Amino acid sequence: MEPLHPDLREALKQAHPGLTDQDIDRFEELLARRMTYDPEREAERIQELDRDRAEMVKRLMPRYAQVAQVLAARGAHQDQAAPKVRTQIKPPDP
Amino acid sequence: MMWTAGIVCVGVGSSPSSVEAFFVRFSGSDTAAELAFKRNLVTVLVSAQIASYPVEVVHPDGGGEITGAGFGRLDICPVGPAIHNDFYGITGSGIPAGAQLVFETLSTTVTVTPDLVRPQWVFVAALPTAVPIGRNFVRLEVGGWVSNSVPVDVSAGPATVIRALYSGAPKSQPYTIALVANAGIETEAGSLVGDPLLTNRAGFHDAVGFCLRSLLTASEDVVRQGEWDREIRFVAIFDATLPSDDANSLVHELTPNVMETRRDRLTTFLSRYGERADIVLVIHASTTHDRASAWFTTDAAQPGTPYSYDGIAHVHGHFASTPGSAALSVNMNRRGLTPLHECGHAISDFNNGRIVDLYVDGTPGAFVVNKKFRAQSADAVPPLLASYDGTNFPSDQQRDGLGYPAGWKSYHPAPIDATRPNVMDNYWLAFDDPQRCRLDLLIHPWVRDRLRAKLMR
Repeated sequence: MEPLHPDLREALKQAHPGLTDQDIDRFEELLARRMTYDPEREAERIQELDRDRAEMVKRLMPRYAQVAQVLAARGAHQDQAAPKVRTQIKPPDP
Repeated sequence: MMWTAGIVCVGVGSSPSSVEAFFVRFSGSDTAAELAFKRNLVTVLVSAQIASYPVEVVHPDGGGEITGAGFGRLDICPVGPAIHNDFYGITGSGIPAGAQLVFETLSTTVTVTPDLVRPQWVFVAALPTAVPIGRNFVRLEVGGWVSNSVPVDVSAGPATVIRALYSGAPKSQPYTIALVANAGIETEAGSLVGDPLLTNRAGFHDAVGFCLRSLLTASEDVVRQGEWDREIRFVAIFDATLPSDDANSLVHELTPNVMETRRDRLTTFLSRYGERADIVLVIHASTTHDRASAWFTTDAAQPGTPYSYDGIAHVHGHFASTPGSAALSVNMNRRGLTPLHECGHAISDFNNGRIVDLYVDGTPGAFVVNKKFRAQSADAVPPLLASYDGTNFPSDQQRDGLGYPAGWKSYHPAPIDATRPNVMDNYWLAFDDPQRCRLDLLIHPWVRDRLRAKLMR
């Protein structure tokens, strides 16, 4: 899973006074662990972790989604390497 | 070319002043085989004339009757039709870095800087509308290096639904990475909604270009080293007609902002387009769930290439029963390494070795290739991480430039670049540019071996 951007970590702490890095790390642990379970064979473990994560969000970071959206909207995800085009009109034959 | 009675006359030459006349003669005494051969000769000549391809003819010394014909050799080859705002590519060999595409008509020259240049492939995510519609001649050039010019017919549209961006190894089932525009999203609540990506084709193209650059041009060379990427087929699917039903909804929201693929839908979805992939990158346009995630591959049971890890036998499966996959936002941060990181997970396997995130501590469990655990966090990091195929690989004593947090029990393979985070760690914390992060001394050869096993199938 995409690692947590440090800007989002800081924004989460600002939006949730009392939220600690340890809280966020614990949440990240659950997310990362979830993605190691096989959805076909270990669906119950995944559901269990999803319940734990949802409870953590509700209890510790109720504005998580909102904070993440604000940050994403602020980030300019412009492609750095869009094709550059140079057009040259040839002079007519003399 | 000119027909007269039973003779086809052909003028062949590099310029009007150097034209030589040749002919194909049809005779009533020709056998059926001779007639068929001569018809094919004329077909080649007519096709070459229509397409403006160079042609070579064979004739006896001192005689003008054509006994063989073929297309002249060109050192580049366009991939698929040239369509405004669609993907475009040109293949070749030994293409220098910095090569540009030059489209030429009688009145205009348009130079396009591509999104990606590899020695075998130049890729443009969206062919600019500045390239004139109709017959152009396209060449590649940089510095003093210039390729042949190849005729192409440029059209305004419509863009293709499925497009092979690069065909890979010429065999029936080349290793394939599919980049798919998602049509529907399964929400946290379980309902299906349309993915706005299908109204943002330009965004999809841009994201595909970024994914390819991430995989093939970042400092980490695990995919491109030795030009192995010339064996990989890349294919893109953007089907704006799809309803957001269960079969076409390829991603699922996870609270609070993560998107995962619905991995069990991918193979069936691709098969409708005649494709089968080893890795599927699903691009979506959710504005609420834009954090990427990946699922490991599930290898097919047979066949496989054996390897050992800490003396235990494992296999790199040659085919996937369920492809590795990642859900990527069309707006993903272009400064990062997200496509490469997620492909690191996706190329590994649920049963034959998982590559996991290094930015969390984790707990021991199923077979993981790139992480182990100490009994206590106070214990020293062991000098060796693992034995892979009989070679010992050292541990990362320092966790690259980041350091193991107090309380962590996990430890990692020694890095290739000890000054920057591992690609599978938190690359956002790189002191300079995440694009310069590398994998580690164990995962690099392990992924290369796994990739080779699949490329050589």
